Amino acid sequence: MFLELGDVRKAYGRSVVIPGLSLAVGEGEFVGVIGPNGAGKSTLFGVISGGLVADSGQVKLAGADISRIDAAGRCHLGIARTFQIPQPFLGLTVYENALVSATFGAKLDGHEAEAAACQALEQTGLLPLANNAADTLTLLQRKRLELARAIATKPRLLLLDEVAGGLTDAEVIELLELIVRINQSGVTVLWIEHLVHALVSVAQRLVVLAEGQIVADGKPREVLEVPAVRETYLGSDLDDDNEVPQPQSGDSHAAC
Amino acid sequence: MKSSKILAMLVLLGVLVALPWIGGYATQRLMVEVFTLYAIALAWNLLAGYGGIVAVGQHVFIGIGAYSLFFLSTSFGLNPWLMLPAAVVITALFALLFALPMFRLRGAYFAVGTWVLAEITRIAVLNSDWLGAGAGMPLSTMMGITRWLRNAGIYWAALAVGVGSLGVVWWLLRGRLGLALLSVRDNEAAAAASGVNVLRTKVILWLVAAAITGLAGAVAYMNTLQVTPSASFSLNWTAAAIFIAVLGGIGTLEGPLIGVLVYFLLREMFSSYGSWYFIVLGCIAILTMLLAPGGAWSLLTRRRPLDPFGIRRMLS
Repeated sequence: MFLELGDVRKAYGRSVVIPGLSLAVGEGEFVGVIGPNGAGKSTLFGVISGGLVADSGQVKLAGADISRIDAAGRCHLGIARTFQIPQPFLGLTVYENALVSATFGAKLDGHEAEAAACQALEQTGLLPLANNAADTLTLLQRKRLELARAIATKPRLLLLDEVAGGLTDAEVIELLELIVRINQSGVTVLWIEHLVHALVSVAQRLVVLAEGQIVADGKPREVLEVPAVRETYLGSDLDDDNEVPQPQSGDSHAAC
Repeated sequence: MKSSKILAMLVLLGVLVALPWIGGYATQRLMVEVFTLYAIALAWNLLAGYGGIVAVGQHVFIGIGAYSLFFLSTSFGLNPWLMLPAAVVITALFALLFALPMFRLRGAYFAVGTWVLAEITRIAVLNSDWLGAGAGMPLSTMMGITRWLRNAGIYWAALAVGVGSLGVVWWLLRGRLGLALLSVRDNEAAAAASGVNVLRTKVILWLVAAAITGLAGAVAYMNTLQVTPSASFSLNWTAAAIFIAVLGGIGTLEGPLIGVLVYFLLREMFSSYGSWYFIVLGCIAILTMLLAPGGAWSLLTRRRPLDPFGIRRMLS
């Protein structure tokens, strides 16, 4: 298995977010992760990416135990993540933000780093804003910058934490195409998203978390039929389209 | 860079190098203070403005640098100028020794921790007879050198420290380390997630700042020919550095240049007013923080962005 979590536990003080979770993901898989707020989805990503240290249990990448490797080290091993609440480098330009990832994440130098940063910006539609200060970006643009920064590290495992929230339908489709392309180039993708329909349309596998535990795991359509999933989280009106976002305010999508 | 810009810089540098033939001893001694304090402020600004590391006890490196030079030169009868590199190395080693305990502390604790380190070191030196205890050490190896050569030599060393530290910091900021630094300053968690080794970046910065400060301290005390624990391990050094950086603009390469000019202008004009001078200085710093947190440089660049040192990375 490419990514293996073995009985991982994580608590914040007395509050146990993940009591003990095991998960195996194969190389090149595209896994959607859903679950109610507080289910431990972002904590799971923190534990995988090394931003958080698990209290116990193991994280393995390509067979090697990486539990004791810090976030920067795991990034070098090919794990990239986006943050649910965007964490851009506000004092830098958009281009410099991506350049940090290309230089230190992908360990590229000079023109190669520039090219990688540029490509990531182009893929996420941020190229026209390359020389703008990151603190001038809107929330949606910052989410795109999260994605650009993750891509620019040239990852083998991409952890996406709600990158589609707030996008218009057209933008969601564009984003889905981009992520599918990345996945098809061999990158394993784990994607947390509240837009279940968007996830189901592209993910090969859906994992449902509740209270830090996996309550369902399998083919998306089948998982959504599991009664426990319907009851605990999704409600019973999954077949309606009312989960697809309505077009938001006039944030125009910059051309690539 | 435009050739006219290079020419202007060369002319300025030429005038500065020729100062011992133009100006008197008082001017040279003042300029030694300007250049050394500039380097110290530049180092403080590098730590705080680019690394997000507030070192209230930065003056510990001044004392270490000065004592390294005085001890080696006086004990072994060696030429003090040749001991300047040794002062750099010893200060950097001292900084390396204390890097790990210091960087276990965060934010305000780190700031206070560096101050405690400075105090403990001062008290240790104060109680060390081999370093002259409270009376300090003279630089007796200066005896055989003519007054003109001594003053000029110290002035040139200070000039080299001022110009050299700017050059080193400029070179660092333009390179990989600069990019890492800026990302760490803005967001440590995101920097780590992007593959930046946060601790290593900070430790390198700490060592560079220590080396610059130690060198500046050594030259500053060559100028006074006597080093004492109470003067060299004095918070006044760091206070002046902070004032200069805040006034000029924290986190800019240009800030300390402006700040140091304003600082010495104020000092030369008003220092005879005694404690009123310090009260005014404090008020100016507070007003700057309230009204123009980016310092003088931010006021100059408010309308049009300037990047005279060319350290921003633009995508063309």
